[in-house]
Amino acid sequence: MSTEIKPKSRFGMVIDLDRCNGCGACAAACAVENNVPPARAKVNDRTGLTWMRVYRAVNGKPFPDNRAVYFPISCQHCGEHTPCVSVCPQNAVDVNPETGVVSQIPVRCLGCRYCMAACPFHARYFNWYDPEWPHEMENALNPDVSVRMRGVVEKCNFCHSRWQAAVAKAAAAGNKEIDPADYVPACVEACPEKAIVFGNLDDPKSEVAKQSKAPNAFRLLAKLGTDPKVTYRSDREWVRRLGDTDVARTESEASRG
Amino acid sequence: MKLNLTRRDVLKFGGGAAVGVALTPAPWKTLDDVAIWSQNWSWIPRPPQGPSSIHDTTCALCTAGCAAQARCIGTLPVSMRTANEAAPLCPLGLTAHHLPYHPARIARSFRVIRAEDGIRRIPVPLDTVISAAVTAMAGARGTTASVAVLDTRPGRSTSWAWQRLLGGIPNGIYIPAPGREGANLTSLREIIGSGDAIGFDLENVRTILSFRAPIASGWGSRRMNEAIRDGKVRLIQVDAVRTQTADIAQRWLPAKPGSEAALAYGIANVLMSGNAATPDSTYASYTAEAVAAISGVPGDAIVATARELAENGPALVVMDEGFGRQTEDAIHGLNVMLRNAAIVPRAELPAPYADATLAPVAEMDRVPDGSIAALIVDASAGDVRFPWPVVRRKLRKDAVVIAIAPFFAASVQRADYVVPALTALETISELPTPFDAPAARLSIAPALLAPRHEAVDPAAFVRAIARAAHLELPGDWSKSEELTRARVAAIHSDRIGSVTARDGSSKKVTEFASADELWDALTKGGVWNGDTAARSFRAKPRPAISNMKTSPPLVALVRTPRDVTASAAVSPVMTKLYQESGLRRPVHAATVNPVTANQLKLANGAKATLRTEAGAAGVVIVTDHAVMPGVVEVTAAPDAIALGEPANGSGAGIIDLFAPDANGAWRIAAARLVEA
Repeated sequence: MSTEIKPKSRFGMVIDLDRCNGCGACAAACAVENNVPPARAKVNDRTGLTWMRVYRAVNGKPFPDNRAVYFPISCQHCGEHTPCVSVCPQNAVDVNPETGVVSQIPVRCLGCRYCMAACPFHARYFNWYDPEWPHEMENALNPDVSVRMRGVVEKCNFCHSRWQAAVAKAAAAGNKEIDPADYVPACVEACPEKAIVFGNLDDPKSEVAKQSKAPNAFRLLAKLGTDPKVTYRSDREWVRRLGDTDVARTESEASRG
Repeated sequence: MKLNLTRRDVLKFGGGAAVGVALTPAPWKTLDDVAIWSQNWSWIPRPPQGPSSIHDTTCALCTAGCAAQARCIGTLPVSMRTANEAAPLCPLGLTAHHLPYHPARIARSFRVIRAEDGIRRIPVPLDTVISAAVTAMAGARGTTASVAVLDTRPGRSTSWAWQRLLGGIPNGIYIPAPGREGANLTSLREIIGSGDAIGFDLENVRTILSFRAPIASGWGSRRMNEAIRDGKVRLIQVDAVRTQTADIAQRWLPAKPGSEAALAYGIANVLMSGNAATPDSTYASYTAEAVAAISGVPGDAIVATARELAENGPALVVMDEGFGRQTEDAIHGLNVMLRNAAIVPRAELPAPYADATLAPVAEMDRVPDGSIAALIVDASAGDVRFPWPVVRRKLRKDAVVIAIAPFFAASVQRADYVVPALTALETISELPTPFDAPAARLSIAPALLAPRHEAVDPAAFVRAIARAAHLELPGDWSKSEELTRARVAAIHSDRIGSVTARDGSSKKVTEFASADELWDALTKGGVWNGDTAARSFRAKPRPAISNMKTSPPLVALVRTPRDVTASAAVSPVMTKLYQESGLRRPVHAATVNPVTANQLKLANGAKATLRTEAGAAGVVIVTDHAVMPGVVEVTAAPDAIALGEPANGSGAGIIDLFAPDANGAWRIAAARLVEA
């Protein structure tokens, strides 16, 4: 099923894999910004909540020719045949007509997890447990994002609250359009290597639009035709080839081959 | 007409009604509403509400002192963000505002009782702890035993207070924490016979030879990483593991752990052979071929590295900590040989008060074994991860260990008495010169959050011990902030250096009308920089080691990533990196090459026991081709306590399997790995 909405803007990001050093600042910043709770003791890499997860992939060669690359993978915000939108029986997955961002509406979600099964990028996570922070640490939560209850699916929404704040700021200043500098997702802001560029893909002057068309740019599982709004870059051919494979695998899955 | 209602009719009606209702929106609406209601149970945490504000601050969790901004709701910090793109926050800094609420916080002073089933905490008044310290100090008087303070954040005004207190005690020794960044520079200072502190002029470096220093993952700045990536700075990384730093390096030398000294001598030999003016036979036996056989690094790579250092200067040779004196001497010998213009002496930060009665400073490996009768661990400003055996061998059997720290985690769990301290954000934090800065530096992070626990100010603790021990201390101060203000006043009266404000503008200290004005500038994100006094040095490297070591069959190697070991406790959301994704190896992971795993008959994911001379620990095998065959890599990653799980640990961690050798080397250990 095609996503029939033609959004006014198409926000997306380009991630330069040759700059990413796998520090995990994006994942930590994302969890802080979006009030993603820490894991309980029994949680593992299959049951965890990581809206932005950094996968380590290797070239498969033995020591000392082994090389690694870090793939930060969040929701790819598919623009065509968005699988999670198609399968949701509750209309809990929505494409924002203003931004093109694929959003999860937790209050509508029943937790059937069809969307998780449908997502080819494994970028959706199920809330197996009540969200819980250590005593009083809720005082350090972000007031702009509500905490989700257990039993629902959640995922990256390109820091929707920051977009809302940017819209409010523009409106207060009497502008219809937001200042691009006011809408920067937490992972982009936190990346110490400036490996992530974010902006409106439909604005040909934007850095993200230019970089998404770079000769070394590629998208994950492009053959599926879901038109992801997240593009990756690498000068290394073996890394670009990984884009056609299932990179988003846990370490134990990857080790099984 | 008579209605004959049969049992069959009733069942048909009930069945039909059930089917009919299922076809209406009612059940789906009920499910939907339940879904909505269940989002709003009373136990679902609610974020704070109130006016939002942004405050300039400085991340005080490690020595780098990165400029930061804290977003606050009312008086509660709810996020941290980078304020200077050249020095971005790491995951630890981005989650710093969680730490005041960490479950491992110490709420009051207590005594630690160790039993077989774990440890018990017995609350005691602060006076009891002070009496224990004073009694131990009195017991050491007239003996050869010493009283020592181990400082995990040397250079603070409180560090000066400790040094001054110990200066009034016979056999008082001030010990900067082993394993802290820049500890190895003590060896370089000894080689060149300099009493000055040493920093790096990284702006002008063109080649860096790094022995396992984590330049791409914590140590280097973003600007440095970019310069390496763009080829403006050449990085040669020596490491047995293909790390992130090795990934960005132009050349990677996979040397066997333990062969670093031989490799340094091999490079020195090539450097000397090209220098006919000063022939030196010391290194003659360390030919490229001989060193290649020991280290596993090809001979031509050794020659090429030496040429690059000589021809593409200024070149700088750096290393990780824990190599031990012999290897530190060998590696720093290269810096001496290169007449290194990238290494600059720098002035120390002015002391809060001019007073010469300071205790001697000693590195832990220079302290005689079994000589410390009382040890006070000041971990109030942060942590450094080192194996406890490094300290334990220096303690007398009856030694008393007292710690002042915000978290009961890591080495603080080894103390007999524990005193609570405030965390960063709850108190003014002083950030003295980072180890690699070319000039003295000072920044101050203001307090943004009201203290959540009763805590003891570390300077007040010094003062209380001094008072109980009848020792006079100069100055009229009773807490750390007053000491830091005294230091700022000293800087103002010295009229040296300048302050760089958050907006990039610079103002000379002489332009500040008063010390209070200078204090205000520093607490609003300004950074004071002392004047640089660059000069090159001339000295001879120390004599070479007498024999070339060969590696044992299996070597364990421990990493201590700065962005998690700078604090004894980390934000619980660090589980995103350590538990919920495979991005970082958890504390119980032992990473080996698949070839090694096959030889040991261990599968990926198998439970095993890692055994060294110092003990044994349960591990889970992770196979990775990035690790050299014959090497087991483990990480001093946060354990369950550090990640916020309520637990009662003894403090023993995997890093404690790495006991120091006679040279103080602890980063590697001969190991055995067997299936559990």
